Amino acid sequence: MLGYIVPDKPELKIREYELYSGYYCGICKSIGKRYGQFPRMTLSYDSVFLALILAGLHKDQEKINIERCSIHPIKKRPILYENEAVDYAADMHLILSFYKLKDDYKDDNNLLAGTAVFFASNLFRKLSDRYPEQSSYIEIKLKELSEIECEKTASLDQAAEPFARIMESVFSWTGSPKGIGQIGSEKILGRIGYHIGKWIYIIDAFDDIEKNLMDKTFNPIIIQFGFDARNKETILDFRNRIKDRIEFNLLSYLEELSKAYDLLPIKKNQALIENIIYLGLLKKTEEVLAKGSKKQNGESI
Amino acid sequence: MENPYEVLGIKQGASEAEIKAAYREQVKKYHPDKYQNNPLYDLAEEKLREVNEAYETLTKNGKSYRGKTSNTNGYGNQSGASGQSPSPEFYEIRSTIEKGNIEGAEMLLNKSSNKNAEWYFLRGVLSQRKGWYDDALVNLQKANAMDPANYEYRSALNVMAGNGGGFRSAANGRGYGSNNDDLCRMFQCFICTDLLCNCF
Repeated sequence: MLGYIVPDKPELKIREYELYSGYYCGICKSIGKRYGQFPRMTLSYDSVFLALILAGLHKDQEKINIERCSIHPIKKRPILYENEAVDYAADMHLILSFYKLKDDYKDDNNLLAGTAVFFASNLFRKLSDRYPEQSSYIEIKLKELSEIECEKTASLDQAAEPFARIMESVFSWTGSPKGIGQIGSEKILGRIGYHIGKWIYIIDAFDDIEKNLMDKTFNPIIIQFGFDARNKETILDFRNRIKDRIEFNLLSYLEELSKAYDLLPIKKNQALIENIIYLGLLKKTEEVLAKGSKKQNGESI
Repeated sequence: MENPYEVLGIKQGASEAEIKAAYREQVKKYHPDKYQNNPLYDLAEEKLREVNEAYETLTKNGKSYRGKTSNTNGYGNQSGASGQSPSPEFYEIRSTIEKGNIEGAEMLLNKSSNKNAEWYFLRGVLSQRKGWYDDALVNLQKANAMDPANYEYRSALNVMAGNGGGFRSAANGRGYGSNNDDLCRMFQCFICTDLLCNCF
């Protein structure tokens, strides 16, 4: 996951912000406690969204301690403890990060990634033992994704499908063997996951147009809409040409996501989750769509 | 049965006006129109039923909203109104879609060699069900171009093309909005920097 799923901070209440940090630090701490310091460094905001939603399905109050940690040694912060949803989000985050590292290593022989893969493989074995079905499903889907990249598939929907499916499976958590499950909500959670997956994939592709054109790497948007180098189309022209269509797609995902969310029997964290869905994701969408256009350039103060 | 107050999301002993307002809001939330061509249609219908029951219990003889329960998935009901009946060739595919068997319908559609307007229309409906909105848009546009007089195709295209508008308007009412103000933007930058400070 790439860190696109963030709240709109100025619109948060202070206590919501504290809760958000509590979840973030809770995931970090959960990783640190169970797997050591090193994997903590990979954490991104996206997994907080997953933890907020899954934990939100249960009424019970979170255990929050205010304390220091090795990453923030000076200021004390709220940290969430003993929450199965937080542990699950942490595990999923690590599984996805491991695959991403592996991919980076394979793609550009990145030595740093290679070293990390080497050190993380033990941890990864532990995780794939814990979630055997999910990790083999993710592996299959990632293989499909790399085939799509090789074949240079000219359909945005087709290219986004494997990643969307991965997120679908990550979100449709049926709970831990210990008990608290989300029986009955998996279908809704899966649909939320599917659409957030598509949104991430497409917004990332749009964000990367320039980079992908430079290194001539695969980008489904460039292929589907055909960057017209022969007629001297500039990157900005290209972006403006397809902007409305990409906006239509991104907003469609968000609309479906919000419809699924409306059906979720959510018990707490509503204000935060809704801030992320309706304000954070929309703002990010608009930011990325406006990237490189005139309006954005004039904005830096 | 669950506590009807909880179902409507209001306090025990809320006034009649509060009950009515909460009820209206919930009906809007689970309205069947919103979940047309959506695999979660049944779940929305179930929620609406619960809300109706809760409202009826609280108001005794209140008139509750009745969704379009006759048509399970909403799509295809406009064809009668247009006066053009769908061709028999695609009957089976339509009923397969209506049963929710997307893969089966897709297979049948791929087998058919008659790629007329209805074929593209059905392809579009299937894509929409799968969450392939870009594909859905392209196919529905094609169906419309081939048969511009067809009401069913046109209305499906309109719904698809308007997708996302509902999200934007739902988002509009939230927060303090307005990012058009320079001062406001400056403060946001300030807050962003502040966010970084908090990290250390």
